Amino acid sequence: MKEVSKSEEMVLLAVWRLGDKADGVSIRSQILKDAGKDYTYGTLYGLLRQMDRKGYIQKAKAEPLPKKGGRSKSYYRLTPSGIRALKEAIELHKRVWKNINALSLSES
Amino acid sequence: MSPGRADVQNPPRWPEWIIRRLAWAEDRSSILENLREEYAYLLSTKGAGPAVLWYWGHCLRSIVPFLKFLAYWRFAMFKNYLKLVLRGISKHKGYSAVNIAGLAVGLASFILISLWINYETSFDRFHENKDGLYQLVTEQLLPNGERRQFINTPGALAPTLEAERPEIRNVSRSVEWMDFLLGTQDKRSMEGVRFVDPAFLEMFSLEFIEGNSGTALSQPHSIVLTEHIANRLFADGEAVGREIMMGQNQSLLVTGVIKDFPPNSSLRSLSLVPIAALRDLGWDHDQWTSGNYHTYVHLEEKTDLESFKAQIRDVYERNAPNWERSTLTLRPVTKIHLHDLSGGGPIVYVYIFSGLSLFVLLLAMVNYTNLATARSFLRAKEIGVRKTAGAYRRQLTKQILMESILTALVSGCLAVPIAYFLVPVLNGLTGARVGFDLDGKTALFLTGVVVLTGVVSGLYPAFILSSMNPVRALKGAVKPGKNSLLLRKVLIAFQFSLSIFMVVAMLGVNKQLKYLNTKELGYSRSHVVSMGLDREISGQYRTIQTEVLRNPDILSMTRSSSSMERPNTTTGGPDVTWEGNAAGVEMPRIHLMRADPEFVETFQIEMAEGRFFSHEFPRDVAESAVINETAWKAMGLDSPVGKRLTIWDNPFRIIGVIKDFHFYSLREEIQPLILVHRFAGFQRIFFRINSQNVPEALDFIRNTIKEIVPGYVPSLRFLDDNLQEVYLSERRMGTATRYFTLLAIFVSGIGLLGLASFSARQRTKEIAVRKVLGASEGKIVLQLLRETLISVVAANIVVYPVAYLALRGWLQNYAYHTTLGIGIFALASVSALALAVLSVGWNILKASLANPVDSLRYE
Repeated sequence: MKEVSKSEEMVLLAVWRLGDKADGVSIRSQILKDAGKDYTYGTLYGLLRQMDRKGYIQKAKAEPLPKKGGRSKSYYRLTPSGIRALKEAIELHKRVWKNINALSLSES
Repeated sequence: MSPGRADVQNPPRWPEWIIRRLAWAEDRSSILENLREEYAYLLSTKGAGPAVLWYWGHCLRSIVPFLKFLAYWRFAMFKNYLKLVLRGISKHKGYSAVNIAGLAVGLASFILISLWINYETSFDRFHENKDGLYQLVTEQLLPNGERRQFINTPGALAPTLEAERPEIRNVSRSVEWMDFLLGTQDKRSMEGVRFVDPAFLEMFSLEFIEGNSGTALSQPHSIVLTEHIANRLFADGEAVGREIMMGQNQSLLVTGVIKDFPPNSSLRSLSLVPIAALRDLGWDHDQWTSGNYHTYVHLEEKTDLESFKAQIRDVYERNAPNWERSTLTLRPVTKIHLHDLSGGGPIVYVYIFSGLSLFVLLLAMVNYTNLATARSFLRAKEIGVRKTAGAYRRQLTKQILMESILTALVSGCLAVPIAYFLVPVLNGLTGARVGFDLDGKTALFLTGVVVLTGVVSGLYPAFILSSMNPVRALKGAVKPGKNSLLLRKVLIAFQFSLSIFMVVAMLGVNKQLKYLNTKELGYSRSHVVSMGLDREISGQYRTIQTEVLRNPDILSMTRSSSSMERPNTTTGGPDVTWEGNAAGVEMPRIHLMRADPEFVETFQIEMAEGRFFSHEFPRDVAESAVINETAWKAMGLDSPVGKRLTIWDNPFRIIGVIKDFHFYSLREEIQPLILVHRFAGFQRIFFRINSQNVPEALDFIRNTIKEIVPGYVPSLRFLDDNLQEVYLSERRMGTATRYFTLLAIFVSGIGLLGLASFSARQRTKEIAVRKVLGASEGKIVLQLLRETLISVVAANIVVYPVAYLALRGWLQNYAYHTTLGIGIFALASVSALALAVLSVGWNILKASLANPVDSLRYE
């Protein structure tokens, strides 16, 4: 299986952290909080769609908001294969960084 | 909460609109909802300003990711369409071939004409000062109330205007003298020379190879050579600093060499000599009396043209009493080529040719529309399946449009090489020197045209196909609707109309052409050769005459002040008075010509009254005048012979009336003409030669003159060749209509062929049933042909009046023109019928000869 990209990894991680409250706004702010990246919704939804097609996440519609003309919000959840992909990403990360002390990379 | 506050709750409209347009449908509402939520949050915590700012920023930042996403999916869909279209094209080869061939021909003619128009409109635009350069134009009020414009101006005009008007940055006169003997002692040839003021070099963009524009013409005895002359005379090195001879005894110092003008220049590419050198030739160039100069001005930027025109209008009135009834105006140099002063000019051909090429393109588009609509019912199943599988109507429309656009693009790719190879043909046809250089702008424009062609021709089929009801389409119950059948008939009729129109136009134009070439002109041109009577040989005329006439093959020889196509001195009004003019008639425009006694003999013109000039009456030279019949009529005299006549205060006596002959082209009516031995120098020599020994006679003339005037090379021309030149634009028109008619017939012919083969196939069963029931082949063919024939007849009826009016309008440019007989219309109709029968009939015949058993056995 092809490994997930860095940005995909971040989105997957954010969705996982948010559990069943992962809607667009919270995913965006979660990524901002975790990684300091200010994604636009254009980028974010592009990634979400891509991973939906790959089967990592699933889109679910909640009940419509209790106001007139309220639209139903979409929430995202990890699928088992999404969790697997995330785990693999962590493994890969560990493998690649094995035996490297962060301090030894310091400049000078 | 006030209503105003409620608005603040909503995000700014423009960024929201942008996102709405860009976001893909599936997530659009979620994205907008999310943005609203965050906006509302920011609004409540940080206030309106930061919230709006954030929204804008977010929107602008997200444009790029949105576009990336769109491009990705568009491309994926495009690949899919492309595959479908290519399959379609290769599956129906004959059908595609007809479409592509038609469109390719249409587009090729369009490309060619675009190149040509590009060339024609580029004339004189290479001058850096093009926007400020104007040519002065004299406007004369004729006694009959007409206004005549010409570019001849008196020599004194330029210095006068320059002193008067501060708006003029530079001004230059220009006189072209053709056929000077120019060169060094050992190498001489006949060349043209342009006399100009030194400012000419600053006004017009001339590229100096040697010397520079600042000093080149400051000395009166200097000359700036054009590159090809410099190369011929001084192949061995620099030309500047050398001496050359102009004429027999004028020596000039070469002070510069310029590149030849590009072909798209209305100024002929000639060597330049300062106008002061004219004094040595006996011309005073600062006079108001003679009007042989062209004057160009370069105006300061931001000159108010209208007020400038108003200021110079009365310059003749103020300075030159002999230029009465004349006013001065001007025209941009960039207009000289396209717009003749008389109103016509190449611009007419720009319109006509572009119209014709659009016609051909239109015919090809009609082909596509027709065939695609006709075929759409074969594709009903495909459309049905697609619709059932969930294709949107928009997607189907897109697919079908993509097909037509792609067909157009393939045709476009074919059209470019076709056009490339036809460029020489175009140049021969139009006399232009078009190069096949597709710059970025043109290429973009043509691509646009190709795509547009595709869209327009695919629009209707796309509409028809995508609107099919899938259930009925799958059941095979879709039949061509009445509307689409009607449309097809209308389109076919339209194609025929255009083709018939072109055939009529072609026949009409060529009939007029033949008329122009064969009309009795009142004098005999055949076997008459002419040559310029240049300054070099004018002193030797009598010697040349004696020597040349020793050869019995030269039957007669004469000289006159003008070519037989156009006399150059005109006058009229109070300048001409005559005895016996009791009614006080004022002479309209009158032409003056000078000719030797042998004139009538050489041209075999008859006298109506009295006699022509004669050597036996030496006083003829001083005081005799011969008028033509038109002048006689205009003067209102009973017996003109012996009457006194005064021109510009010079007394003459009329000795005879010459029969009318066409001294102008047939575009213009014969006008009054007076022949006298004054006012003009001899310009041309004419020889009538024996038709049996033409080459020998020509050689004899050349050699004799060369012996008498060493180094002089006469350029002899047959008058019949001149005639070809006079009617050059008509000949071009004739050839152009011939080509375009062929194209039109070809394109509509293959279109009809395709359509007919299709409809014959569709009607195999009908034909088989008819046969089984006992119809003969002939009857079936007639029956099926009827439909097309009705279209042809309808087209004829529609097109006759239009074609008639168009042709009559064109012929009205000619004072003398042919009649539009029924013949050309009949011929056009017959050819249209033949086209129909040939293209449709063949397929029907094939179908009707087939064995009905084969067609029916699957039932």
